[in-house]
Amino acid sequence: MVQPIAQPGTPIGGQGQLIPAHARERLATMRQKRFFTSDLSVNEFLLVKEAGFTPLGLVMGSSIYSISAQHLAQAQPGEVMPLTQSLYQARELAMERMEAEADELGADGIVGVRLTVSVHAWGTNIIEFLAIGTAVHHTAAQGSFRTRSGKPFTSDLSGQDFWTILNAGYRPVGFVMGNCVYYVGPPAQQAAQNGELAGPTQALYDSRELAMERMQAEAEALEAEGIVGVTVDETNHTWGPTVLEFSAVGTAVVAIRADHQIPRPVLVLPVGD
Amino acid sequence: MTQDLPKHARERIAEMRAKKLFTSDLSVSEFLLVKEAGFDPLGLVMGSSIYQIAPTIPNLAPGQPGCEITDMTRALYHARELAMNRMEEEADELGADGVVGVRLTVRLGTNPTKQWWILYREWQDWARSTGFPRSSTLLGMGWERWPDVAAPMWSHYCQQLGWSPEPPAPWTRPRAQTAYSFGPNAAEFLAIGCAVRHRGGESYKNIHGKPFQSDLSGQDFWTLIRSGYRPVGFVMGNCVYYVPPQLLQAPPADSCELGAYTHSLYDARELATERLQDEAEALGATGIVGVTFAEREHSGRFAPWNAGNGALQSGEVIELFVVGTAVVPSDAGGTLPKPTLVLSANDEPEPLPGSSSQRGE
Amino acid sequence: MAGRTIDLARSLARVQSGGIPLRAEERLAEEAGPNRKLFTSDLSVNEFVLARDAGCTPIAQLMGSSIYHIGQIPDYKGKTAELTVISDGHRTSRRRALSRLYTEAQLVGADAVIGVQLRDRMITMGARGKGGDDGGEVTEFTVVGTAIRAPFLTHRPGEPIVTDLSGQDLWALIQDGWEPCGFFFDFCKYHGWHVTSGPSGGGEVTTANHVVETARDLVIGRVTAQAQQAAAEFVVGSGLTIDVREVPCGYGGCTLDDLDVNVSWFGTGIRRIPGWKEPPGDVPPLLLSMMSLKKRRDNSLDEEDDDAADVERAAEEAEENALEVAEYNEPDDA
Repeated sequence: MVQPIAQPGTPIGGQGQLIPAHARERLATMRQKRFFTSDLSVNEFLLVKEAGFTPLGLVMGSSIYSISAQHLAQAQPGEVMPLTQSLYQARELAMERMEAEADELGADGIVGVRLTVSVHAWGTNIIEFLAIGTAVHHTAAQGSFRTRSGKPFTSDLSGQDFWTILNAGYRPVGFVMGNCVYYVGPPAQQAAQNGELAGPTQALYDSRELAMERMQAEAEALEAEGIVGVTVDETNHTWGPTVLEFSAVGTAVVAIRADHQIPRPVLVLPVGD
Repeated sequence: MTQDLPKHARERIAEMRAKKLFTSDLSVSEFLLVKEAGFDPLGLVMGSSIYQIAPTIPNLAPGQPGCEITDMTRALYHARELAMNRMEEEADELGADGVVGVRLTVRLGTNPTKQWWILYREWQDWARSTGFPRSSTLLGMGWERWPDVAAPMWSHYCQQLGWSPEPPAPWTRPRAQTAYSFGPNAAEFLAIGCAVRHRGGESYKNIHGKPFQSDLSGQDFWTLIRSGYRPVGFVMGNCVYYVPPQLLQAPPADSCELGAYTHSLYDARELATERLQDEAEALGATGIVGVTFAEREHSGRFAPWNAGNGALQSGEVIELFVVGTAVVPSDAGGTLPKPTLVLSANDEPEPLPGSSSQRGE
Repeated sequence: MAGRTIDLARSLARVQSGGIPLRAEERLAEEAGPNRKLFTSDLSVNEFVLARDAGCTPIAQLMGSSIYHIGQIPDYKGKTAELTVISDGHRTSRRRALSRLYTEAQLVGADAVIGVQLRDRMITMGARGKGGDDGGEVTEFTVVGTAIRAPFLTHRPGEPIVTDLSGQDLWALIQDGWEPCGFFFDFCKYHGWHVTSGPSGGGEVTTANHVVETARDLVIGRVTAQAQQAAAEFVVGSGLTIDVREVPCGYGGCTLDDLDVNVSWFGTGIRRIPGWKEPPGDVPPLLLSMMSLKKRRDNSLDEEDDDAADVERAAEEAEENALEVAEYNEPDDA
């Protein structure tokens, strides 16, 4: 059974608030003046409105984490649980802060979520996670699209995909993710002949599956029907070739009606290049 | 065999089945088109294998023009097969009719010399664009000791800009490309796809009773089904062929074709194509669409990697492979309406990095 | 290998004379015959659908390839002219590759070969001396495409049309009454002596421009002649590449440099389909497309780059080395 590894978010806004003071000010202004900023393109903006939602504003959250390699002093290849949890928390924190901003705006959800990782001070094992998206609320029935626990939905769907999926009878409930940090171990002595390396195969395969399983568990917690747009990635971060982090992310969806008929597509050939 | 799948794979698939939770790496458009074509996405399935492929130079008689390195061909083939079979196994566990959008990636163990060369070139590019004289960046045959020149250069640069303490140089940044270290000749083969099942209960499994596999995207799958065909398998043929160094030589003043080398290339292609067609015929297919033809040459497979004329010493290794989707006409038949020419008022949306709209259209 | 053994000497002789090996010939003859069981094509699903709508059926995937050694040329210091040995070498290798593709197309009884993709790369780098490219490299030129039956195409029987038009392009052209009628190409390597000035002075370097234009005109002229011979009305396709490089002139200590220009062009000729009637005109509608039949993205198997990229870089490096050496040479005989 997969144990959840989420930890409650750390307040950084003073007085136990999740988001910093300046962010709260900016959001309050946006709410008052009905003035929104967003990085939706013109087409995305129109389609989001078509779907019955109003864009409220750009929201973001970030977290900076130190991922030192001290845990790698261990001898065995295998999952490095402290690093897995650390990286998960880093992402979770960035997402939570973004959601908190959306909450301040009174949003139903966030579309176009981008979760990126970057290394700033090279050689120091410090990475930053940044989550950015556009908060929206349902024009006619505000509050009706939140998740079952009353939080705004998150999704990495673009404006176009958002419109498309709503029209097909689904709605997004959450941006779900799972990860697993795996220490490969020192390179094996050169094997004598060609053949599968059974140990590493099982291990890496297993680690990827674990990341995907954790992602699925998150979707189940949201009582979703499924996850679309899953990407499974791996990266070394700053550790070099002996350590890999596998991550699986996607958007969890639930049905809003029983049938999911879409009009039969018309075949077109664009003459623009 | 199910025992072949790792523990977490079996757990995950069992949970997907029990909770009826579907997962898919299809984009939104692909997802809906697959449904429109009459199929339900069931779940993301994958298979992988880490394989050791040690090359051996064949012993060739002096006049012989070159030959296949059968061990390597078989090894590459076997590795891919293992990965794809495990993916098929996962799909079977889910009760799928097939897998669409199969992506097959191969990640080779990092060749240290080549990685070093890439860093050397990075440093050179930086030095030139910053304005250091060209002559100071050309190290010729002694390029491997480039840090001896690069480090003082970087320090000097930082001093001039007043950066203190000195930050790490750009070529010491973590690489964007994931690096693996299973050993010098090991490679990871990874197959990922989305398992689907026909909603109406019609069987779309192939003649072996297994779920079909295809690298078709959601859009291509829809188009294929609607035009009266169905995929039966993802077929491949490959060939690793050795070309001895003498086939690369010609009198310096002569402009001439290297006939024997050309012949070898054709030979390799024949072998690969034959195998591709055999696989398709074994599945009872009537055709193969979307054939991708990939030909790569690596002289560094035997000798330590050496940019430039390595092939003249060690010979050349041609890796040729062809993959495609085998199809048969479907009993359901189908007629596609005539397409229309349009001038779209829709801009191509800028895909958000990491978002689902980046795949598919 | 399938049990058939072939006469290697005869097969090699075929290749030496510009043909295709025996094994390939046998297989392709089978593909055209009555025992043919399956078609192969590198057409994407969309192209396949469009091609069928236009009345074409794919037969087989074809290849033409030539590995060519460009002879080293004698010193060409002081000359402004086309380097005919190198130009001819490139042209011959392209011609051989395309002719092999053509032979394969004839063997399978095709009306046309569409979606032709070209690939040109270096296998080993040549000598790099003063004055720029001296030849001596081994290049590989490969073309792949899909042979189709297209009964509506007008061409002489047994003479298939080769084109780099994709299935989509072909379909769109045919809707408007155009058909491909030939595939043309040319290559030119041109050298200009003392055409660039040293560090002083600004403004346009007119002699350098002139060299580039001459090279381009040579290629355009030759391609146009081919097009006229094939009775084409237009040449479409943007396979025109111009590569210009400044190189030392070979006389040590000289401040003026030379120019090395490579021009390569591939294009498809098109003409009106004889007897085609224009349908009632209508403006294409504006639509939010969902099911776009655009060209597919390249399907690539995610492997490391092969040697070609490295050989190119090593060649550049060697050339730069020669440049540096030349610049710091003692002035020698003039």
